[in-house]
Amino acid sequence: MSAVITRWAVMVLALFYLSPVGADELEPFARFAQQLTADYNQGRSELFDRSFDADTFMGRIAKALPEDSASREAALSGVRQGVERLGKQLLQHTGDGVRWDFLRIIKEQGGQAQALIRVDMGGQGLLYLRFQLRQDGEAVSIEDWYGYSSAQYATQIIANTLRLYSVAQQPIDRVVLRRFLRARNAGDNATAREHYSELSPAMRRDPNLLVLLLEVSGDDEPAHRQALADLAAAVGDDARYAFVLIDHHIYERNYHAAIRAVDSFASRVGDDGALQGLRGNLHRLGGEPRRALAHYRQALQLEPDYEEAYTSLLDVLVDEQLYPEAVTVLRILTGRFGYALTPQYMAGIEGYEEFRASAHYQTWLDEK
Amino acid sequence: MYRLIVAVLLVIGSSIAYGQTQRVESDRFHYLIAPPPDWVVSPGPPPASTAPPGEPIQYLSSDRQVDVESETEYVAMHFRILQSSGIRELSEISIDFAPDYQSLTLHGIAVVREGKTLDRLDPRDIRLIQAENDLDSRIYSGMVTAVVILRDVRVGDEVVYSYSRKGRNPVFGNRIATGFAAGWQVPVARNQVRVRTPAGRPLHYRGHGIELAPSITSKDGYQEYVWRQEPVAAIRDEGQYPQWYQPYPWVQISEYRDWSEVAAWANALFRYQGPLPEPLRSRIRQWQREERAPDGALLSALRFVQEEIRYLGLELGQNSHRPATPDQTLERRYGDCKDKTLLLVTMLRELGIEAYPALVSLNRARGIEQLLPSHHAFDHAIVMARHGGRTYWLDGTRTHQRGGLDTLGFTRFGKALVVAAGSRGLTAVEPPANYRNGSQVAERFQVTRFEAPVELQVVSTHRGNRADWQREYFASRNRAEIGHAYINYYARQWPGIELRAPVEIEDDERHNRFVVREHYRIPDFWDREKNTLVASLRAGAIREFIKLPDTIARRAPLSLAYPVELNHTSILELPPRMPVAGEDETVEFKDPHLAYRVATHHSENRFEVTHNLQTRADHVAAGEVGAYVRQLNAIWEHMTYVYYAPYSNEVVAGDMVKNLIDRLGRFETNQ
Repeated sequence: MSAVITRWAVMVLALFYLSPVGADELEPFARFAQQLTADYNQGRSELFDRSFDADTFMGRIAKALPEDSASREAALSGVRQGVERLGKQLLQHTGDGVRWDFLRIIKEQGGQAQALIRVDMGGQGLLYLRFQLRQDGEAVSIEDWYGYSSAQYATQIIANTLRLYSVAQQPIDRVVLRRFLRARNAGDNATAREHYSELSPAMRRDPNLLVLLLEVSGDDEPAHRQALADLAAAVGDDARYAFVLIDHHIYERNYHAAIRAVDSFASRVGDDGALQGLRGNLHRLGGEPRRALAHYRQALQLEPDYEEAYTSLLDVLVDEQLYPEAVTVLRILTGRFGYALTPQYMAGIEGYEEFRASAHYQTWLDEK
Repeated sequence: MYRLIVAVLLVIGSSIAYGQTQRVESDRFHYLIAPPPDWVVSPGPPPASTAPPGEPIQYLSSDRQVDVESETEYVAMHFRILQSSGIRELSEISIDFAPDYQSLTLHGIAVVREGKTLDRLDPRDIRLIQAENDLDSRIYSGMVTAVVILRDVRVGDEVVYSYSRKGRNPVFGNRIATGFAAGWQVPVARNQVRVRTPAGRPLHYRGHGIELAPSITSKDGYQEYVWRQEPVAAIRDEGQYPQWYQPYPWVQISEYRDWSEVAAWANALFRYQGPLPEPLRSRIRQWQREERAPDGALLSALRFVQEEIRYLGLELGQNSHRPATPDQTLERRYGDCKDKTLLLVTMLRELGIEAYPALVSLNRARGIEQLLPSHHAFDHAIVMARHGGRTYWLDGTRTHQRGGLDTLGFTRFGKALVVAAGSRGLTAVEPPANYRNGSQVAERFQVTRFEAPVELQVVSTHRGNRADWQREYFASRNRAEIGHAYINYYARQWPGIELRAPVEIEDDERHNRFVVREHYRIPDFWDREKNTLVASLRAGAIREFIKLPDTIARRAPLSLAYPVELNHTSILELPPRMPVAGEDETVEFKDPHLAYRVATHHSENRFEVTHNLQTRADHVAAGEVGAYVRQLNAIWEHMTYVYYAPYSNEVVAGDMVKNLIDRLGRFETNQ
C-alpha cells in the first residue's frame, strides 16, 4: 500500500522541527532566524552574506590549524576566498518543495545564542542546522553553523579537512583528496567516489570525509549503503553521528536500532513532530502499527500543523481499519491543508480498496 | 442705492482730507493714510444685482486702476455681508506690499449700515506683520501684510475699502508687465480695470480664457485702457487641471514686444564675468582628473550645487529676480533657484561645457507659450547644458537626484526661455530619449496552509522621478516611521498585517534605480464566507491612477501624470496540493491617453496577474473625458482578482484535530 502523498521519506539526509516559535517572543535572535529562513525560502542568501562574521569564522579556523605548518597561510588564504561563498553554498538546500523553518532558540547567554532551523527537503529527508549567533547593538551576526551529521562547527570541519589534505598527510593523499573535492564540487559524483577509493585506508575512515562520501553517493544505492556501513563502522556509538546512521539501520532492517538513533538525536536537540513521526514510520516498517499510532499522536500533539504526520497516519488508520479516524484525517487534509482529494484521485490509491467500500468513506464522499 | 455709495465715498474722502497725509508707524514698517490719487476715476456705483442664494457675501464691485507713470496701483473693493459666515471672512482685510520698493496708502475703510456710513479707518485696528507665508519652502520674500481688523460688523452691512501701492521692483526696469483676474469662484456684480499710460508707451494685452477688449481713449497726453465686466459669472471649480491650463480667466498686459526683449532683460541679470573662487576651481580640476566617464565631472558639479548648497530663497527687493554672484552663493552655502543656476552655469563653463540659465514655470509649465512675452511668465530657473551633442536640463534645486545624464529625474517644464545673447523665443524642454519614469511592484503571497498566516514579500523598483522621491522619502524619515507608514498601506486591506522585517532598500545610484523590499505576515489574509475562503489580490500601485476624476462633467481638460509607467504583479503561491483552476487571459485597453494591459497566468499551484499601465498624454480634453471615464470603469474591473478555496470551519479552528488526538489515545495500549 502506498501513502496518499509520499513526501515524508524515512531516509534522512543528515542533520532537525518543533512547533514554530513566535518570533516576537524571542527578539532579536528569533526574529533574525525567522528572517534568515524566509530569505532562504526565497532562494536568497543576502541576509547571511550581510550578517556573516567572516573574521571570527576565519579566526576559529586559524586556531584549529597547527601553528607551525608551512602551508597554514596558503590554506587560510584559500579558505578566505571561499568564505564569501558560504552563504550561497547553503542555497543548495533550497528550491521547489524545500522549506526552511526556524524552530527555536535552544541556547542563549551573554549576547550569544544558537538558533535551530529545520530544512524539510521535500521527500529528500530532513536537515537540521544550528546557527551560532551574536548580537552587537541592534545587529545580529552569524559566527558559525553546523549540521547534526557531524555535530561539529563548520569551522572545525574545515580546519580538520585542511589539516587532512594540506598539512599532515602524505603527498599522494593530498593530491587525491584535492581531486575528490574538485569532482564533488563539480557535481561529478562517480568520479568523486572513484578518487575517494584511491585514498589511503586511514583517510577513508575519517568521519568528516565519510560524510562527504555519503553526499556523493546519494545517486547510487549500493555506494550509499556501503558509505553508510563504513561510517557506522568508523563512528561506533558516537551519538553525534546517530542521526545520519538511521538510513544504515533501515538498510539493515534493524528498526529498533534506527529508533534508538532517533532517540539519541532527540536527546541532543529536543523532540519535535518530525522526529515523533519518524519514530512512527520506523515502528510501522518494523510491523508495529499501534506503536506507530502512538508516535503519530505525539507528533500531532507537538505540531498540529505538521502535515506529513497526517498522511502517514492515514495509511496506518486505513491498514488498521480505523475508518472513522481515517475519514477525520481526510477532512483535515482537505479543510486544513487544502488537499484536492477528488474521488478519481482516491480511487487510484492501492491498498485503499476496502476503505473506499466502507460506509464511512461514502459518507465523506457525500459531504464533498 | 447709487446715492448711498456716493455718500460713502464722500464721507471717507472728506474725513481724510481734513487730516491730510498721515504716516503711521507699525513695528519696523509704516503706511500712509491719505485721499486717493487725483488721477483715480470712480467707476460709479455698483450695478443693482440680486444676492446669489446661499452665498455668505455679495461681491458688488472690484475696481483696480494703474498709473504707469507714477508706478501706482489703486484698488477699491465693495461687498455686502449676507450671512454670519461672511462676517468671519470680511472682518479681517489683508493687504500685501513690499516695503523694499513699495509704499502703502490706505484711502478709506468703512461699514455702511442702514444708510449710515461708519468710518473704520482707525490705526488702532491696523497691524503690519511680516508673515512670510512661504517659509516652509525656504523662501523669504520680505513682503509685509497690513491686517485690518474691522470692529462691529453685522449681517446686512456693506464693507467698502480702498488703498494704493506705489512703487515697482527696480529689477524689472522701466517695463510694465502685469495682469488682472476676470473671473472667480463667486459672481461679481462689476469688475473694472483701468490702466493709464503716457502716450507713446503702447500696451500689449491678451485675454486668457476670455475675449475681453478694452475701451481705449486718449486724453491730455495719456492713453487709457478700460476693461469692464458687468456682471461676472462664477466659475465652477472642477479641479485636476493640467499645469498649463488656467481655469480662471484673466487679462495679461505687457510692454514687451517679444521674448527676445525678455531674454535680454534676464541676460543682464545673469551676466557674470568674474572668476570662480580658487577652492572651487581646484575642486573642478580634481573632478576633471578623477572622473573618467565623460559625464562624471558635469554630474559632480550638479551634485555639488544640489547637495552642498542649501536651498534658501531670500527674495527681498531686487533679489526676487537678480541672482547672487557665484562667490556670494559659495560663501553663504545657500541659495535659491537663480543663485544655484548661475553658480552651476559658471561651474559648467569652467569645465568647458556650454551652459545657460533657462527660465521656466513650475506653475504654468508649457502654458507659458500662450502668454504675452513677460518677465512674470516664469517662477523658476534651471540650467540648459549641451554635452556630447545632446541637450540636458539640470535643476540645481533638486535633491536626492541620482543617475547618469540620461536617467536623471526629469520635470516636464514644457517650455523654457534660454537666457543667452540672441535668444529669440521659447525652447521645448524635452526629457532624454530613453527617459523612464515609473515603478514596478511585485507582490508574492506565500500560502502554506489555510489557517496559517500568509507571508507577503513586496519588491518595488522605482525609476526616474519616482526613484528620486523614494530616495528623499527614505532619507528624511526614520525606518520606524517608514515601517509604520508601509504597514498602514496594507492594513487598509488586512488590518491584522504584521511587518516581519525592517523595510530594506537598495539604491542603484548609477542607474537611478531605487528598490524597496518589504516582508509581511498576514494572519487575516482570507475573507471567510460560507465554506469558502476568499483572497483578493489588488493592483495597489495602479488603482490610484484608475480612480475616477472628482469632476467628470467638466468644461476644463483633465490632468494626467505623464510620463508614468507602472507595473504591478501579484503572485499567489499555494502548496502543491492546493491547485489553482482557471484560464489564462490577456486584456488590453488603449486610447490616446493611456494604455493598460493585464495578463493572468495559472500553473498547477500558482496564480500570477500582471498589470501594466502607461500614460500617453498629460491631459484629457474636456470633450473626451466621458470616453476616458468609460475606459477607466472597464479597467477598474480588473483591479482586483479573487481566489476562492473551499474550507471547513471546524477543521480550520482545530477542534477536529484535538478530537482526533483524543481518539488516537484509545489505541495506544492495544499493541
